Amino acid sequence: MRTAVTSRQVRLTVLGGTNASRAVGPVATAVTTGWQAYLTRLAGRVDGYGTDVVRAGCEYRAADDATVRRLR
Amino acid sequence: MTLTISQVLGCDVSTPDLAGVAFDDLATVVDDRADEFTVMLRDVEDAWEAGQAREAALRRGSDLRGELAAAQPLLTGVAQALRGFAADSRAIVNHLRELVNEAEGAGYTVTDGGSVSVGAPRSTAASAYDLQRDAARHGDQIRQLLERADALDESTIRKLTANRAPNSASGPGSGAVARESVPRAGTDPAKVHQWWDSLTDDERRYLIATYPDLVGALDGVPVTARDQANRIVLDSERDRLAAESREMDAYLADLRRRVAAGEEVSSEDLSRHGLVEHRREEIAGKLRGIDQILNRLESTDPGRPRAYLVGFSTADDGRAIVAIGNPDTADNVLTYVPGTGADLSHPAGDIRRADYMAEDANRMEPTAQTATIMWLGYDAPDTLPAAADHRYADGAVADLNRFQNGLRATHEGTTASHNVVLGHSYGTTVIGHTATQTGITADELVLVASPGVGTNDASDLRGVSPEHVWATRADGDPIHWAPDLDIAHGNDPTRKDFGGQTFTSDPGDHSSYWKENNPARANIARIVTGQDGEVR
Repeated sequence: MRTAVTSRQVRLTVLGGTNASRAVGPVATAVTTGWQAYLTRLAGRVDGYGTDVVRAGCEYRAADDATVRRLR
Repeated sequence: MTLTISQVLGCDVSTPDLAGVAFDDLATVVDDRADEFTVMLRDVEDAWEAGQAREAALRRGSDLRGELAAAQPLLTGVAQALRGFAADSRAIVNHLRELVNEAEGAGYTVTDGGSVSVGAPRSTAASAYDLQRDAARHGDQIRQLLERADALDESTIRKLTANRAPNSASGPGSGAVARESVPRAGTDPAKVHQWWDSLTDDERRYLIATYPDLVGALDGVPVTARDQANRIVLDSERDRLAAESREMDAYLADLRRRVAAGEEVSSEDLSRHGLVEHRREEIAGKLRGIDQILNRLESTDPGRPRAYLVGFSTADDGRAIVAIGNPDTADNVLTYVPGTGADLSHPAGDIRRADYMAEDANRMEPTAQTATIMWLGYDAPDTLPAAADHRYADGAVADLNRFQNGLRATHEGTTASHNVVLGHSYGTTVIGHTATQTGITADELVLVASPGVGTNDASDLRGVSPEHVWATRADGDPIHWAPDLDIAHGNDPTRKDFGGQTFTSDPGDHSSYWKENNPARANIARIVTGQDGEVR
């Protein structure tokens, strides 16, 4: 998965600066940071899944082909 | 109260707006990835024929697909919270700046905490008592705005927290709610709202992700939740219709190939051919309409109010309810009911009108927030001859009545919004039938280019008194033939004996009312923002 969760895309400085004194500022920043971390992890798991499945699928095919060869 | 004037005036509105747009973009990205993942899973299922490893791979894949799908409404929720904060803050900042300038212009001393005092004695005709009273009045208004800013911080924090990234500890299925517990379509919106309020954040998230079609259609569910749900519905309907269209293309191509090759074609195939062509055309229209809706929903112009998908269905001719700005937090809410010819295949023009009316009202009264809603929640007549039939209006009565009640039920804060229902053409007939049959929850009704509203007396329109019923018709608009010849729906509501109010429009055709500089637009903005005395 090409999640493309970059700091540019979710603008991690969300409510900093002039809004830092508002109660909502730190919460918005924390929520944004939380999402970035979560999506980065999720993207890793999805990419990993793709790799695992392709490898397992290939091994399955290879094992299958080998079995077929043996049975001939 | 903790906020000060400098904190509120120093609020940088553009940053949360931009961040909100970025979260909306991110929701789209994640949704696209979820779709790609679904295709990949299908390929795995097809290619990998058997075995325990296959089952394990599919199970894990399905869980990951679920996580991707669950992220989309949450990301949309963060976008709603941030863009809503920006829109509300903009109105508060404008109003506060105006009040502070007014107080300082009058010579009063304004502290950062919001207190207003008379200060040094000045030569003025007003008595000291009057000055103090006036200063106190300014102080009260400023304090109210600071409190509103405080409340906005709190509600935004609540919304952000409710849509934070999932905790990896809470596995799939947390917050599960039985489908049967969801109120049935048509339930009183106040009861629906009570039910929604009784749910936990996890339960709400579960319902939106699991039964988006039910949640999205329920009047009484907050607009933000309906938006999250309906975006899921729209997305899956787009995929479903596109797949059906591809199947039909393949069928038609095969049929053409067989005919060209001189193969035998059954009479069943030939009769099916016409049906398939018709269905394909219908689907193409719906897909075009979906793209037009998406075009507005995904608009990333930060200055533009966020659009909310309040209702959506592709059943029959299709339904679409699109709000410009969040009606649940707005001070003024206008529901626009379009007329003959409106349907899901081309909603862009009616959405644009809603955009114009929101822009006009927000420009005219920048200290308040106005949201507008394009309500295509009924089956409008397709043709002019069909528009003589009152059954289309009757069919809309219960839905429009309930929708307006829903707006009242879900509105946030202690002050009710100023609600206006505006119809164009046959849309005015829908409003008339609703108001006469069930009453309508609104503060003002606006009837633009009406062919008649089913009654000849404004006092029959229940829920709104005649001094708040407004009508206009352009010279040159041929719609006047309908009431003049008493074709179907009664007299023209711009007639004096109708008993309502009228306002000016430039001469023009039946759709000229939203043209730039047409005085109708400024008059509508005045009515929406509660400046009835200024309507001309």
